[in-house]
Amino acid sequence: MTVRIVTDSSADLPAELVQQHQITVLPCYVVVDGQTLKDGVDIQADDFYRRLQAGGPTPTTAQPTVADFQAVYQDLTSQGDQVVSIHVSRKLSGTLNSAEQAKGSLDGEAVEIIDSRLAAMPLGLVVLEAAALAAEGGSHQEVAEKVRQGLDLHHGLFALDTLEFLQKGGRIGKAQAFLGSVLNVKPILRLHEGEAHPVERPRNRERAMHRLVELVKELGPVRRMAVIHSTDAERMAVLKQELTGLLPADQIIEARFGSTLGTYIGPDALGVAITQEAR
Amino acid sequence: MIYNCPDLDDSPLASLYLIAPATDSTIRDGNGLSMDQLRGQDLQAAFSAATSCLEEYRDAVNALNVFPVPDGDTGTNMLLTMRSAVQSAADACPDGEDHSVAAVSAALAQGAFFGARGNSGVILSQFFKGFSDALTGKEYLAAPDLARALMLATKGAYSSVGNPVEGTMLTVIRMASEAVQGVDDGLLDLWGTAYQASQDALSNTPEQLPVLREAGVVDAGGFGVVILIGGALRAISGTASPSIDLSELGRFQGAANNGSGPIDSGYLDSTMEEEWGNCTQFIISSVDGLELDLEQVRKHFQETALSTVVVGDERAVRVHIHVEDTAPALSYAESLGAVSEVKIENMDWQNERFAASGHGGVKQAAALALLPVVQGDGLAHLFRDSGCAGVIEGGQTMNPSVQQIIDAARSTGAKDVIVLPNNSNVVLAAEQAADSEPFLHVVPTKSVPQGVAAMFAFNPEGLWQENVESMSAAISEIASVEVTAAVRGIKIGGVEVKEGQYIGLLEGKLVTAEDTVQGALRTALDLTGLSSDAIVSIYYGAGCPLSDARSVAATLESDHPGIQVDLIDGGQPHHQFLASVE
Repeated sequence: MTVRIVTDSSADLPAELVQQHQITVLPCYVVVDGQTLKDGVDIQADDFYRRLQAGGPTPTTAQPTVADFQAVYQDLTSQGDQVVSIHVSRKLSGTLNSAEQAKGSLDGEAVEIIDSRLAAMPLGLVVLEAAALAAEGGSHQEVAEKVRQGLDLHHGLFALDTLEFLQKGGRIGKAQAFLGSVLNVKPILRLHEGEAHPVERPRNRERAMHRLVELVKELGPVRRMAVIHSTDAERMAVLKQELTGLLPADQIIEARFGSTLGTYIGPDALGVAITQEAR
Repeated sequence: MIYNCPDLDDSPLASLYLIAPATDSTIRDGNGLSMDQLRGQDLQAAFSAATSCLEEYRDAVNALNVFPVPDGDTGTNMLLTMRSAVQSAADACPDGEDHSVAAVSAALAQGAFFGARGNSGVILSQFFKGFSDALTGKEYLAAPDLARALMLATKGAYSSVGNPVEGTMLTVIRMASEAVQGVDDGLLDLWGTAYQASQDALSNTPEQLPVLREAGVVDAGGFGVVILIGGALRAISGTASPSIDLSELGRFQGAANNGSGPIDSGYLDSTMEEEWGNCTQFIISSVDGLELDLEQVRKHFQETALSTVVVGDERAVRVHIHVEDTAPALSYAESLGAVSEVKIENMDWQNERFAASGHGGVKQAAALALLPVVQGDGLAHLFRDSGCAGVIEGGQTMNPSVQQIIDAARSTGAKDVIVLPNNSNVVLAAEQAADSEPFLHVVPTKSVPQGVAAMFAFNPEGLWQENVESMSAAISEIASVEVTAAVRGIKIGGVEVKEGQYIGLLEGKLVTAEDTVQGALRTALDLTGLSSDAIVSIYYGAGCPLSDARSVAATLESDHPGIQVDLIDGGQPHHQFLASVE
């Protein structure tokens, strides 16, 4: 019997890691120009951001359906596997509701569901942690318990070009206070207790990058780390270089905000996800 | 049978809103219309005419929209909703054919539902939903059907609103309906009775809703309903070109101005708490054939949001709510089905735009609020826009009193308030206010640029002690420049100033006097020791052309490659330029 890890596409896990750890990723849906598309399946990031920046109606997102979850859970458990299903924060998405309803509709004994209280690669790092724990053996309950205990070690910091998309998408939450449009600030947000919280508002991108690096360094030492971008891989490379003091470059994962996250985070955003060394 | 609007001249509102008495009351018996029955196309024509009527008086309805923060104008919202309704009916039931009232009313209801704008439009759309439900399967609309249709329409309208308020269009709809229940009369007479009752209800709305009484007006949405019922009646009764005599409405509005006066910002402050947050609208559509539970959705939002309007059926639900945090609402919605047409407006901003003068008023009681002293629209906007709870009007020549500062701080409702004096002449008053009020704290900013720097260091989620520390530290990281015209000649610290010259101050100290305003700004900025990674913010004052600011920015950028220059419309009096270098 194997413990299999399930997540959703808002984790933005790079494909090679998904494959390597045999993770099942349920695509979220993104509605662009009236078309409902599966994130990462029907629409790729390049295409998404091109359409986002072209204007038009604001895209919206929808979580995987109950049926989507039923199919995955049924498929895995019928092979005799157990499932640990880890998803985007309940405060940001209804994905967990779909997962829970699907579990309830099946004989859900073999499925453990976890609210990561995160999104994007910070969630991705929790998933990788879970995959590593699953490989060590133990039941799905044991794996899930260890994952839950370690949740506080995962952090996410994002430097956005604008809060416009977060606001349009209705996910502004606590970051509302930083919504200033008169001065063209580049807000830094942090995932905390399942929501995006405002941290600082540097006046330009250079300072935003500088502060992002400093804030990440304050969280060290780190065990895992990912750098993330939406439309500017070159700036992400610079960011990665700045962070090599924390972890060798070849151990830093490079990721990209997909269509689901991109709907809210917008173009020209950077992010860093870390797993702290256990204290 | 000849129909005339009953008792027009006896009504207290006689010529206020009323359709002029019919002069040509030819009944369309020749077209096969029995006055006791309407065919689908008659109903369609009636509401089409009613929509034209509303169009004509849209501005008059809009003018009654006295609520402090309009979601959009009531007349416009109702009109656009009606247009969508009649368009849908026109599409579904083409001209020149016979249609059942069931088909027409269903098409009206569907069009209204998807075209609904603002609370008034949503209520209207539920009126039509109820109206249509009552006519399901009906070929004709007869007198008994009207009573039932209005009853279900009323029910629909009331149920669409989380907390129904009397004295609004809801009351007008209900009174019109109640007037025809159990009355044995012909269809036209019933419609006339409903029309009369709607007017009476409208004239009574100021008695029911204090806000209307204060403003001396009737409810805008209710007025829209009266126009629609009247316009439809006019069409049904067979008279061409409906006209509503509004000459008396002008007098009605005049009375408002002479009476309790226009709504002042004091009133605004008292009602703001209800209007904060995000006005959030969206449609949830069922997916995979899973039916939506309207009642459950409504209950959920009534428990978690303000001003809830939740309407629809098992396939699609339209939601209009006010919430501080939109994310949980949308997450919940997305857990039920596909969410579309998401529209979010920040009511706090609308409030602030409306309450343009005075301190910004009451927002939600934050634990920690930031309150700057500011003069100039642009600067006030900048501070509010960046998360300040409001502003205290004042500055260079208008120094607020200690009491004013305390009052303004109290009015934020926050547990702790940090005041930014933003002027060296205000720092002491602010500190004295802090001495007498333990909840009031001061970061002693001596200029607007310092205030902006402090504001950027503000973390609304932190403790006041931490914030005062980090904000005070932020002040020292910027250089602050002021440029103003000299009111007399003087010589200070080696700088000779002639009257009419422009003087530049750095950190409050006179550093230059020049013949041009740009020259004074440039010299003072240069004295800060500009480095290539500097950010220069220039706030240009009232009456100071943007082009002056632009020319300085251009020379700075060419002389110092890599520098960032931001130009901001400060609108401040007295200072042609304020500037910071960080």
